[in-house]
Order: sequence, then C-alpha cells, then structure tokens
Amino acid sequence: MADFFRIGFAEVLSFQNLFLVIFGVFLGTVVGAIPGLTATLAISLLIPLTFGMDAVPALVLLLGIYCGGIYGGSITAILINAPGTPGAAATLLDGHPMAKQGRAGEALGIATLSSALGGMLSAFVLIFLAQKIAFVALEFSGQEYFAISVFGLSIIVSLSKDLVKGMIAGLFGFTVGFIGLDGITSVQRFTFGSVRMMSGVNMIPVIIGLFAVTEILRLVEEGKDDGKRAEIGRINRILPPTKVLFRLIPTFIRSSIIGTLVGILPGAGANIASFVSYNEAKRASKHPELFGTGVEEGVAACETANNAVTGGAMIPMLTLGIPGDAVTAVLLSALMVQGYAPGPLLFSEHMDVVYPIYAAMVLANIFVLIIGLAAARPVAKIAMVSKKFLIPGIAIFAMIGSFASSGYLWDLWVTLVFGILGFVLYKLDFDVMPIVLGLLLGEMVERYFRQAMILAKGDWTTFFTRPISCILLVFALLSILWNVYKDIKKNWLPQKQAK
Amino acid sequence: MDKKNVSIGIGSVVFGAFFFISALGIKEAKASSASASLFPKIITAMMVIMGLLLLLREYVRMHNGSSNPKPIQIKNGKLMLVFCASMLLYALLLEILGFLICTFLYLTAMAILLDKEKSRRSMLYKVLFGGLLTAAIYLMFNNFFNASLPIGMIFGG
Repeated sequence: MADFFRIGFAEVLSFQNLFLVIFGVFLGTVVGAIPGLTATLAISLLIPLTFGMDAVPALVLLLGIYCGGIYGGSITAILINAPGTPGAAATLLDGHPMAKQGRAGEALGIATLSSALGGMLSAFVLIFLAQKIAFVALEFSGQEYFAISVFGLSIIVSLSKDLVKGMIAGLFGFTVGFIGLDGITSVQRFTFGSVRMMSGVNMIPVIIGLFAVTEILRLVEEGKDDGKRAEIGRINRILPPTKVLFRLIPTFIRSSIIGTLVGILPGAGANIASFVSYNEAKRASKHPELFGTGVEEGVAACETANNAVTGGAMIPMLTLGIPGDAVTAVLLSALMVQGYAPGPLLFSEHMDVVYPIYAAMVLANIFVLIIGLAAARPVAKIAMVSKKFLIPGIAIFAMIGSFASSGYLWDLWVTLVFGILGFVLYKLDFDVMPIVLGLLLGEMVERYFRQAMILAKGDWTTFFTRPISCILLVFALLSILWNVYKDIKKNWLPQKQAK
Repeated sequence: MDKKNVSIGIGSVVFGAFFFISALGIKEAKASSASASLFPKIITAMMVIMGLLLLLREYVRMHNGSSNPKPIQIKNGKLMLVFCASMLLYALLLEILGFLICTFLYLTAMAILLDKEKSRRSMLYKVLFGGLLTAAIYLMFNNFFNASLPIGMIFGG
C-alpha cells in the first residue's frame, strides 16, 4: 500500500500527468455527453496519438476519458432526455422527469456524486483484488490461460443478442487475426502473396473502423443538420440536500457491488449494470410505483452502477488479458501498443505502470466529481455541437489517426473497410463487439493452445487433467450449452401465438 | 424469412469456405497438433457450420411461423453513399494532394453536405471551420505527436 502511494500517486500527481487526467476526464465527459458518441470511440481515436507518449501518461489520459465518458452520458440523459452513452439509457427514466419538475440541478448532482462514488469504490476493489488474482495466475500454465481465454470468449458470445450470430462474429474476428506471419513458425497465413499482408491486420485501424467510423455513419444516417437544438432548462442548486444523500447510502452500496461484479464479467458493460441496478433499486424500494416519475434512487442506482463497471472491467483485463467491456477491449490494445502484455507478469515486473493505473482510476473519479459539479451546464452546451461540424471532424480524426498509427495508407483503407463493414453489420443486427474480442483474444487462445500442446507433446487431454483448466473449459461448455438451449427455445421451436 | 440473417448466413458460409480452402494451402515443414494451419482450419470450418446453422434456423422459423423479419432500412441512402464515397476519395487523394489541401477540402465539403442551410454566411463559417480545424490537426500531429503527415506528390512529397 505504501508503494501504491509512493509510486502511483507520485507519478500521477506530476504536472504533466495531472493535466492529462483532468483533460481526459473533461474530454471523456464531453464526448460521453454527445448522443451517439461513446468513451470507446474517444479512446479508439486517441490511441494513435499516444504512440509517441510514454506508457504512464498515455494510460492516464485514456483512463480519464474512460471514467469521464461513462459519466458524461448522464448529463444529456437528464437535461434533454437523450442518453449520451448506452450506460445512461436507464438514467433518463428518472433523471429527465426530475429535470421537467425543475429539479435538474439535483438530478445532475446525484448523478455526479453517484458516478464518482461508484467509480471510486470499484477502483478500490481493483486495487485490492487485482494483485491477488494476478499472483494466483502466476501459477498458471498455457493450459489454464487457454481455458480462461475460451471461458471469457464463451461469456462474451453468450451475452450477444443472438448466440449463432455472436459466434460467427467471434470466429470472423479470429480469422482476421490469422492474417500475416504465424507467431511461432513464421509461416504465411492468408497473405495471398501480398508483402503488405505479411505484417497482418493492425488491430488499431480495425478498432477505429468498427467503433469510430461505424458510429459516424450511424450519425450521418440520421440526416442533415436542421439547425434545431434541444432546450436546456434552468439548472438550480447542484448539491442535493444532506438528508437525501443519507437516504441514498444503501443504493450507493448495492449499486457499486452490482456494477463492479457486472464489470468483472467479460463482455457485460455499463448498460447492463445500470439496468440491473435500477431494477434492484426498484425492488428494494418501499415505493416501487414511484420509479419513473423522478425518484432520486432511480438516478443514483444507474449512475453508481455504470461507473462502478470501470474498476471491475479493469480487473480481468489487467490480470488475465480478458477485457470486461468494449472500452477495456480498446484499452487492452492501448496497453499492448505501449509494449505491456496484461497478465501476472505485468504485476510481477511492471508495478511502476500498475500503481499509476490504480492512482489514475482514483484521481479520475475525483475529477469526475469536480468537473461534474462545476461544469455540467457548459458541458451540455458543448455537447450540442452542430452535426455538420462534429461528423467531419470525427471522420478526419479517425482517418488521420489510423494513418498516423503506422504511416501507411494501407491502415487508413483498413479503417474505412471495417467502418463500412461495421455499419452494414449494424444494419443486419450483427453485434461487432465479438469481432473485436475475437481479434484481440484469438491470437492468445491459439498461442496458449499451441504452447500447451508442445509442452504436452501433442497430448490434448492435458487440458482436462489440470483441474483449473478442466473446470473453466467445463464452465465454458455449460455456458454455451445453456445458451444453445435458450436459442433453441426462442428460435427453433414454434412460438405460441398471442390470442 | 429474415433477410438479414440469411445474408449473414450466406456471408459466413462463403467467407468461411474461402478461407478454409486457403488454410488447406498453408505450407509447413511438418504437420503436428500444434501446427500453424490447425486453428485456421478449425475456425473457418466452424464459420461454415455456423453459417449453415443460421440458414437452417431461418428455414425452420419460416416453416413454424415464428419468423418475424424486420426489413432492412437505410435512411438517407443517398447522403450515406456520398459520405462513404467522400471518405474513400479522401483516402485516394491524400498522398497525391497532401494532408493540408485534402483535409481542408474534405472538411468544408462535408460541412456543406451535412447542413440544410445554404446561406452565404453559413458557407463562410464552413470554410472557416475547414481551414481552422485543418491547421489545428496539422499543428497537433506535427508538433505535439511527432507524426508526419503527407505533403502530397504534386508538391514533391
């Protein structure tokens, strides 16, 4: 713990890193507040810009955007009934009614406090749990890592709207990841004689394409800018009364736990956490019928949970290399770009990076509180930037960012192809998250499998003779089978017609 | 039958089959259970199987009456096409015209395209927007992030 303060905070409280945390939180808050844009988009656009930075400043900036971005969605959800991010979709259920009753300030205050508290509590869970998990994982061999990766993928696929389509998406991501030279034997795979393809498909342009360009195309589809802007009503006092805050304490605690646990689950993100937490708060309330009419617990439950996802999602990402949500999937690639592979070795050899990550998560949530309480209204005004400027601006950042990631035009073309493909898949109700995870985790799954098979001299039963590996593979299989059963019931059997 | 799922199913079968055949051609010194071609073959074969499963599922749903397809709708199709074409054109011309000219033209043109208002004053704002943002990005990438941007072949770059 002393090292955490000595190394972590000392590093993050330097002038440069402090500025980057504040800037990251502010930028993330603004981007999160703009309906249609997400923290994932902001981080994927900024990753190429962090290539020239050292690891700690780069990660500190991106973590600030992460925490600010998840919070920012609540501002427009409350003020103009349009959630800035999917995680704030539940916040508007009670947040906007509060604003319509002239209590916009109170709603924003509760959202800000809840977000900061949820994020902070989950950051402490990260700090206390991550190292312990990492040290357990130090005993793991290729078999266990293979099993963990397969288990993580099975959970992510299971959480897709459609199991079969989720599996196709994951397999597609795997296949794209095969392109290039094999990491172990340097054999060419799917290069079709192209020298350019030998270096494979760079993950950053794919991520920018799927998360940024696809979003831009979705915004374009909504149509031209008609000059209309939503009205932001008057914002009265932001700090809620003390007795309200005391009444919300059980909601804060319950929602923090829910958010952190959902965050730990691979593939489950802020939107799932906020809806689950909202439902639980409603069930626990003495007056559940009031939910949806402007109840403080409704706002607090959603915002605490969705920000509590941030620390939870970082746990599997840092300790095992399995991202907890879409944002940590992109953060994982940012970490790898900086030359750090997540996993136990990160904790045994690079605590000089891990401690600043912890400190950045804590500090970012403090600044979420400060910026949220001080600047909610100006942020909301900035978030209403005209589409005719916003869309081309983001498009240029996406295109130049992917070009600058390597200096090759090839990466720009990859971004555009995946961006257009991502939009087409969106229109076909196809989830793109498993594609990214297949691309990120596929290489790991294959590498661990082959390492394990080499060590076991081709004996595949090695995955089932080691207890942890066996248990995880069985859980993965059960997860898939359970979802197969649900899919059969939903999609294969005749549905009962409504009378 | 849900055309979306049928499209994905066919796409998965075609994509998987194409890459499975390519995987058969992966040349290795020695085949083993840890070979470079094993995973590509398994994954692409699974893509074909999943694609066929999806097609079969749609067929079953159509016959048991549980299919409830929603049509594929793209709003503002013409605008989408022009916007996509503009991005592709930007990529084509970037190294020829260079970052400054290409980006300025792109930003200004897209701001005009995406706005319903076409007054002279708003045109001026869009030109200003194009110029200012181009300059800001250029300075940021060149000076702060040390990333070199294309000068343009027509300028000897």
